[in-house]
Amino acid sequence: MKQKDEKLSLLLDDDHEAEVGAVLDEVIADVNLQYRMRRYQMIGEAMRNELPHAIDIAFHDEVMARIRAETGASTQQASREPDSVRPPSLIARSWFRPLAGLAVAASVAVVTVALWQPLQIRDGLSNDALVSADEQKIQQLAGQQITGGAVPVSTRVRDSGTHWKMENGSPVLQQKLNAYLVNHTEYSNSMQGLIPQARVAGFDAQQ
Amino acid sequence: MRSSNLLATQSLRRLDRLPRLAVGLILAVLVSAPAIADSAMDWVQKMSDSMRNLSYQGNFVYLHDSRLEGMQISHYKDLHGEKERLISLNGEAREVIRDNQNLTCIWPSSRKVIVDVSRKNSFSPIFIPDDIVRLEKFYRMELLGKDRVANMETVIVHIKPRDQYRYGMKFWINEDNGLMMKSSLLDENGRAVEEVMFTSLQLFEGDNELVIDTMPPIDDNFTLVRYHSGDSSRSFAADNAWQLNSVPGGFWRESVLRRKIPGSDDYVQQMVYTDGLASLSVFIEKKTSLAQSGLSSMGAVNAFIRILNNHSITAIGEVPAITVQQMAESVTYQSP
Amino acid sequence: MGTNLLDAELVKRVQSGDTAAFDILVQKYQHKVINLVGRFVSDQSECQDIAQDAFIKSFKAINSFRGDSQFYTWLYRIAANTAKNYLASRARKSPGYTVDVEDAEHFEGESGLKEYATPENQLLTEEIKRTVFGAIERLPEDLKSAITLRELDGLSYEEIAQVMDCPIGTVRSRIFRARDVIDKELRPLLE
Repeated sequence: MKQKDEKLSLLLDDDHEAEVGAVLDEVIADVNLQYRMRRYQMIGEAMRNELPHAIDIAFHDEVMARIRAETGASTQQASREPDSVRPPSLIARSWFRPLAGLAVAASVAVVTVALWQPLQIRDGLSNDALVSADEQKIQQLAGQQITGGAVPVSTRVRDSGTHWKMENGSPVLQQKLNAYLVNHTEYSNSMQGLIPQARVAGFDAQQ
Repeated sequence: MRSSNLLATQSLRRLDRLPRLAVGLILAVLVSAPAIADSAMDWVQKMSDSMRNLSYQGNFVYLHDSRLEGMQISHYKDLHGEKERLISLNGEAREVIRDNQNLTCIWPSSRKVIVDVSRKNSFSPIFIPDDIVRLEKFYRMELLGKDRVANMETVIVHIKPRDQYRYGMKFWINEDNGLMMKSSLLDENGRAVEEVMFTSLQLFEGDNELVIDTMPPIDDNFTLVRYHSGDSSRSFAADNAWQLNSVPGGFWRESVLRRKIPGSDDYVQQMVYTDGLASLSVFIEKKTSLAQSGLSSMGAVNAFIRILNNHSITAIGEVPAITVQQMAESVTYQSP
Repeated sequence: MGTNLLDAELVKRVQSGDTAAFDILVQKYQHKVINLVGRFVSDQSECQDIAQDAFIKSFKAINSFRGDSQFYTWLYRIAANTAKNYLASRARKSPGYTVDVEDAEHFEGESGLKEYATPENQLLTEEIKRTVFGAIERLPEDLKSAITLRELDGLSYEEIAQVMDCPIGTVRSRIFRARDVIDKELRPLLE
C-alpha cells in the first residue's frame, strides 16, 4: 500500500517516474486511493489558501449523479466497486468534529493579531481618506464596530511572540519586541531588500 | 500563472482601478533599458530604481533561523504612487497592503482587519544612501560575478563590512531589469543569517482577463480591530535628557520621535541610528514589571534590553549583537 | 512539471468513454472551479449549482477539447462563461437588478459572505486548514522545506533538488513522507 501511496504523490506532481497509466488504473479501481488523492490535493490547496470558503465534500458525487441523469450514460462510479462497498457518503461525517476543535481553539486563543493588539481603541473614524483594500467595506465596518479586546474566534492558535530567542522571555515581552521591530522597520531606511518586510509579515507564520 | 498570483492581481486591481498600465509601461521602458553598469554601486542604484518604479509580482522564500517561509509580493507603481501587497503563504493567511496612506492588515480566516498609518519612508524596498564616500569607510563593495536565480541571469554584488559592528550583504540583481532576485544578510563569518530569494518573478503586464480570488471579500462579518485616527503618527517633542554617549563608528542619529505606540501604555521615545546601510532603533519607555534586561535575537535582528533610571532601554535592529549591546549601554539620562 | 501528464491521460480516457476518469477530474478541480464561480456569485447554493453546470458542460463538450491548452484553462473558461451567463440571465429576469457582465468579476451581491456558506461547511474548511498547518509545523525541517517548495512555490522536483542540494530521489521521498504525515492527521476529519 505504501508503494501505491508514494506513486500517487508522484502522480499528483506529474513526476516522470509516476507511471501515469498504471497508477491511474489503480486509483480508478480503488476508492481509498481516490480519497487519499483528494486529501493530498487538499493539503496543497490549504497551504496555498485555495480551499473554498466552505467545502461541500459531496460535490463530485452530485456532479456525477447529474451527469448520469442528464446524459443517460451508463457511467460507472469512479470506483468500479459497487456502491455497497463504498464508504458511506462523506457528506454527513465530521461536522461535529470541527466544531469541537474550534471550541478548544477559541478557548485558548492567543492569536496572530497579538502583534497588532491595539491599546488605542478609537470610537470612530478620522477624516483620513481610506485608499486601502475594499475601502467602502472598511468604512462601513468602522461605522459599526471596533473591537480591541481578545479575539474570540480563530482556529489558528498561535503564540505570536515565541520566535524571539531570549531567556525566560514572557509572551508579553516578546510582543513588545515585535512592536518595537515593526516601528523600527517603519521608521528606518534600509538597504536590505525585502527582508524587513518579510520579517514583519512572517511574524504569525512562526510559532 | 498560479491562482495565488492571480489572487494578488485581482485584489490589487480592486484596490485601485485607475489606469496604471500606460504608466507601468513607460516606467518599465525607462528602468529596464539596458544599463551600462560597470560598478557594484551602479548595480545597486539600478536595483533601487527598479524595485521602486517597476510593477512586479512574484513568490519568494524567506529563510531565517532554519525556517523557510513562502511569501508573495505584488508591487505597483503609477502616477499616484506605490502600492504593495505582501501575503504570507504559511500559517494563517495574512495579507499586508500598503499604499501611500494606509497599512492594512487582513486576516481572512479569522476575519480581522487593521488599518494603520503608512510611513512613506518605509515604502522603499531598497534605500540608497547619498553619502557613498562616507559609506565606503565602513563597507567594501564588489562584483562577484554572475549567477542564475529563478531561471534568470543575475549579477552578484557583495557588500562587505570593514568591522564587526555591521552585517554584510549580497544582492543577486536581475541583469535585464534590475530587480532584486535574491538577497542575503551575512554575519561576521560570511554566513547567511537571513535570506530572501524569488522563485518566480514577473513584471506586471496590465489587466489579466480573469482571475481567481480565494480571499473572501471584506464584508460585515469582518471585525475592524483597529483603525488609525490620523494622529497615531504624531510625534511629540523628544526628551533630550536621553542621550547616547558613544556609538560604534559610522553610526549617526537619523531621527528621534516620541509618541504612543501599540503595546505601550506611556509615551515611547525612539531614536533611529544608521550608518547609511544598517540601522537600529533605541526605544526608551517607563519600566514595566515585565521588563527584563538581556539579549534577544530573531534571525538577523538583535535586541538588547537594559534598565536605567526606572526606564527600559531597548536597542533593536538588523545589526550584530555587539552593536545593540553597545548602543543600549551607552544611553545616559542627564537631568535638565 | 505541471499537471499535463495526469490531465492528458484523464481527458484521453474520458474521450474514449471512461466516465470514471471524469470523476477524478471533478475531484481534482472542484475547489478551483468553485472559487472561480464564487468571484461572480456570492450565494453558496447558486455557486455550487453553477460550478456543477460548468462541469457538466465540460463533460458534454470534452470531445471538442483538443489539448491545445491545458485542460484546466479550458475548464476555467467554461466555468467563467457559465457564471457570466447566469448573471446576465438573472439580471434580465429581475428589473432594477442589473449587473454589467464585464464588471462581473468585481460584483459582490448584497448578501456578502453571510449567505455564502453554511457554518458547518465553513468550519470544515477552517478545521482542514488548522490541521494541515499544525501538521506542517511539526514536520522535520527537511520535509517541511520540501513540501513548502513544492506546494507553495511550485518548484519542480529537479529545482527542489538544486535548492536543497540533495538527490532528486530524496526529494520524491521527502515530499511523499510529508504528505503521508499530514494525511494521517487530516484523514480523521474527512472520514
